[in-house]
Amino acid sequence: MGKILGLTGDEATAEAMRQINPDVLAAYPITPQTETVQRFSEFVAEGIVATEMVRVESEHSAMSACVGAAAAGARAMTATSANGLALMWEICYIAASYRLPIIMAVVNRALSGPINIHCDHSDSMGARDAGWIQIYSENCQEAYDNLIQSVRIAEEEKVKLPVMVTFDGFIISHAMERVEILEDDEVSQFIGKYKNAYSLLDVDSPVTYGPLDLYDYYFEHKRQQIEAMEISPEVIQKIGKEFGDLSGRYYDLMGNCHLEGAELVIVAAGSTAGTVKSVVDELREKGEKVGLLKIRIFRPFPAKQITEVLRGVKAVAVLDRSVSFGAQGGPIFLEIRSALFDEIKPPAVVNYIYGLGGRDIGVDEIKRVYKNLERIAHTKKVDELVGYLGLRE
Amino acid sequence: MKEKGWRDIPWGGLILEEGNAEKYKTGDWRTHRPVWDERKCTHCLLCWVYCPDSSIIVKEEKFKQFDYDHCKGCGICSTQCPTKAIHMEEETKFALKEGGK
Amino acid sequence: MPSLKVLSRKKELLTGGHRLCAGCGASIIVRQVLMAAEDPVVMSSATGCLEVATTIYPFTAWRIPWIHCAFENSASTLSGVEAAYRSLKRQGKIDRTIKFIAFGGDGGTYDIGLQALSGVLERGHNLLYICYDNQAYMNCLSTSSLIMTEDGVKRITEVKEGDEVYAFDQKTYQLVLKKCIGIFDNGIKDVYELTTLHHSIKATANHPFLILKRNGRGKKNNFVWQTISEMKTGDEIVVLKNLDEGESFKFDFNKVKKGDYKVNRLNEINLPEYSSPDLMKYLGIYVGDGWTRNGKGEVGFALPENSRAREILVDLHSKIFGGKIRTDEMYVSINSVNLARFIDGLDFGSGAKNKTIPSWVFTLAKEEKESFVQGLMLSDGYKIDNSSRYVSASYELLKRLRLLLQTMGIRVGRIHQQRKEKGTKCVDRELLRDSEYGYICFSQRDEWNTEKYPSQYKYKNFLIDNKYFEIEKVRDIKLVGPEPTLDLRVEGEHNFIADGIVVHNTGIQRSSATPEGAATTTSPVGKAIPEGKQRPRKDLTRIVAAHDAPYVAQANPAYYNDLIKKVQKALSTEGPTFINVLSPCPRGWRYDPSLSIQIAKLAVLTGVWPLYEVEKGQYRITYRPKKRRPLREWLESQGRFRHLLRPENKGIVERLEKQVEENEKKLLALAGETSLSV
Repeated sequence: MGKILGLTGDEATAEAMRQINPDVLAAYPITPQTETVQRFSEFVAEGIVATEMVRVESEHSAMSACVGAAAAGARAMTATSANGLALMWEICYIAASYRLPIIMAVVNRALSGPINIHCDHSDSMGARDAGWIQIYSENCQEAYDNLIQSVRIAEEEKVKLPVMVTFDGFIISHAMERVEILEDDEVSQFIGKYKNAYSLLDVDSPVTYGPLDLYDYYFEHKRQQIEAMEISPEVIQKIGKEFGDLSGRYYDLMGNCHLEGAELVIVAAGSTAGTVKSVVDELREKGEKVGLLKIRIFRPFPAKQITEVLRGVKAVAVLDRSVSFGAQGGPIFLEIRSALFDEIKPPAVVNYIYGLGGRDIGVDEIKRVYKNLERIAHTKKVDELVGYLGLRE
Repeated sequence: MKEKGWRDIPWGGLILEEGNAEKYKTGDWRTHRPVWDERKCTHCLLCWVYCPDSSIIVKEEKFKQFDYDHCKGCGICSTQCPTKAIHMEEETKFALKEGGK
Repeated sequence: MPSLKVLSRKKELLTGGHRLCAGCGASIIVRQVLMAAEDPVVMSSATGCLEVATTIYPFTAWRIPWIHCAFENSASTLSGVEAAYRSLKRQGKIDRTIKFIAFGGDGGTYDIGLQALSGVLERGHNLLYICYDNQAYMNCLSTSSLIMTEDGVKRITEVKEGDEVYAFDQKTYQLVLKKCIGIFDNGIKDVYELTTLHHSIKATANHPFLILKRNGRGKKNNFVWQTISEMKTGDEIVVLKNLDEGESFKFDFNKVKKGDYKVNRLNEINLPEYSSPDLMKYLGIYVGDGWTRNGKGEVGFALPENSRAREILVDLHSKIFGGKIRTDEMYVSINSVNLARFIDGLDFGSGAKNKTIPSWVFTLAKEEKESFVQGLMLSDGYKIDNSSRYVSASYELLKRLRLLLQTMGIRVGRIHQQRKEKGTKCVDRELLRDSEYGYICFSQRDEWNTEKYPSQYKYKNFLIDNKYFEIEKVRDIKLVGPEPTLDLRVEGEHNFIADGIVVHNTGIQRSSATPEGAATTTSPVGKAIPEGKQRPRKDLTRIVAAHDAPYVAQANPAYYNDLIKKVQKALSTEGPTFINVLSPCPRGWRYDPSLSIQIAKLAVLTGVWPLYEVEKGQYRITYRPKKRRPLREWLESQGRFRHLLRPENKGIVERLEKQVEENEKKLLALAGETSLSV
């Protein structure tokens, strides 16, 4: 086993990147991702990584350079947050469509405007349709573990999709936690070598990336992407198990949930899942039948698996740390509700929007949510489908 | 050529076969075709360096023939030939010969 | 540099079967560039003609590894490929020598792609960026536009800095006068014709017009600026309805007297000092039926006996001028040197096709304008029910008459054009030959009873109770084609009235034609006015050179030797290199495809596209034409410049010539030379 270190989320990410040792890293600084790139450039300066670091002039160019590098048969990584991700948005779709296994760490931060540097999930949720696999991390350990696994997930032959690993800005990125690091060679063995069958640098077998699709082929190319997404859950599970065998920490499509015998469940992603966990522990001691479903993989959304674990639950509150303006609720809420639609006796599902722009959420609010769920389960009535936690009315 | 389904084409929109645009015959865009006068040609290869469609075939450093499958009849070769060894003729003359399209 | 023969042994790396236009410059450039490369090449291309036409799925014309990512990132995408190459080479995973070439059109390089290019230059990647350049873009009005100024209507080409022009006060919605602070050529651009019921104007797609924005029930409506490309039929724009009451025009004419040089006999005649309704009616008849022979000192009218116009004319003549009149069956004529010169100097033009309405008529009092129109009607007009119709072979005359009527609050339709054959009757005369002519219809406006249903009328026409302006719906917007265009800047309100329509200041921008040193302040933003989205055309080659890139050059596919040498030099230079190549476009420039190389050559020989290189900051001119050819040859070779060859646009051509000369001087200075020609 490796060492145990006190690392912030950014530092843990940088450490994972060091061990992954990508061929190319193209990144542009943005708070709260900056420390990651800073740390990593120190590694580059010290010569302890083989990475060619491209200090691009914008996030758009960062993702473009990653596309070029991955197409050239190199392992390419980048990191960003909020508006940096928004600036890359166009190229994210292209990266996924070219089936390039680019790994990106997204340090969740609110999208402007007004400009806000603190945590919410609007950035990665905004990119949920781009065709990337999206993995949410609860804490620094998970950020580290997810990043390493993502390399294998992305490069799997049947998958070949870019992966974004997210973790909460400031709450995780700048908070020091206990992180277990693997040995360098354990990581290199785990991730193996990147093989791109169709590399631009293979000048003897020239390939063309990015042709013009007219209406006669575009649909088919998109269907291929859909197929890759549909196959990926089993790959994610396989790798989660393999990683567990290596590290002792096993990962599945959902976070390790506390659902045994639960009747009232809160669904959450990111660091808030940790907060909910402590409330669940407390309430269970008092005999309350409460539980937590932690969202780990958001894309592809594991509808089948989630439906199974929520069977028999009476009421569910989905916590969304982002808004989809004009929709019937937040993104996770919409997915869960849709997943449960075909159930014969689905639980009541309500939505809470919380934590936008870094608004803190504490155990008291979580307890209030459970109390509300209790009422809903009891009265079988939902007064308000979408509520807000921590908002000043 | 029957269009392929999504399972039969390479993923990622990649085109794996280099230069397969050759299969697409742009020769039928022409209204006039260049005709070569061997007697006047000095094999300077100016026509070759100026052809936008790679349709001048050069063998052993000499002009060999036009690639009529792809030549669009732009006429640059004729305009640029210093010895007037290339002139443009109406395509209809040849259409009948080549089985009338 | 190897000979063509040696180069011809290389494999063709761009196949035929791509779908670029016949005669396209871009593929000629690509072929020459790939001929020049000795090592294997990996290429990236920005979205554009080249990319789209060479890779229509499932076909690719490329025999080299090739990637297209997006429009603005050819440089940054390739920088990732180059970084991967460097990384893998360093790790010993690759050992071949590979070169990297990024292609971008002038769109994907000058504007949206500039950031990525700049980043690559700054980071020092080892790649060559080639820009294939065919044209730039800005907002402006066609040079046929008529501007409403204090001195009357003027062609936009006649407006000078300091002239006072009419504008729309955006706070009070009233007519104001503002000073013109600059005019700029913008070369040939694609223009659209926007027509309403009573107005039409030609402008580029990005020229802003003042549109009424209805904000719904209970809310205030307001005006916003929108460009032609953002507008659709049905949009309501602000147009001019009426000018302030004018006054009589004072003539500045010196009569010749008996005893003056060559004046032996003189028919005495009175010449008025000021205009008057009678004089204007006389002149109206003159425009339709009169002529002057200045040399002979004769003024004549084609008014046959018994025509109603003749009676009135003879009567008016006696009243205003006095003196003898000669009449015969067909004509009325007056022998008077003074009268001939007087009328000639009033600028009504001569010849049926060239008659026009001079600007001073627009400054007259309403009564005088009405008399003038009556005079016109007496000669070439007739009434149909309540509508009057005026016929003329001069399009310019009809255009101006339309505007004049609009400044009198009269409603005018669009200009109709027709062709009639010799012998047919026109009004009450037979045509002597085939002729093309036009006509307009006009009538008095109905007075709307705005007191009875104020909000309804206000809904129909937001400016109904405005004295000077009103709203009209856009009926049609269609592409007309390339025409010479100009920018006009007005201080204060930042708008002016062109062809009767309120248009936005055109932002100050340089075209390749504008002389260096022209004022370039950006227009300040008013309450609801968006800034024009323009920027000057940049000298990209020098911008790249300013990044201290180790090798920068300008090239041309007609000079393949020079181009190939430059590509080879660039590829063997360590660091980021750049070549800007002129790419002739038969479609956009309008010429026969077989002339692409010839025209490319002309660009160099006329000085429009000099061939030079900058090696580590040192400028060097790489090709010197034996003698610089006149710019006119470049303009004559392409349809997009055809209108510049009209006599009235001589001034623009001169300015363009000057610009080319100044650019040449600048380049010579940088290169430390004195003459471009050998």
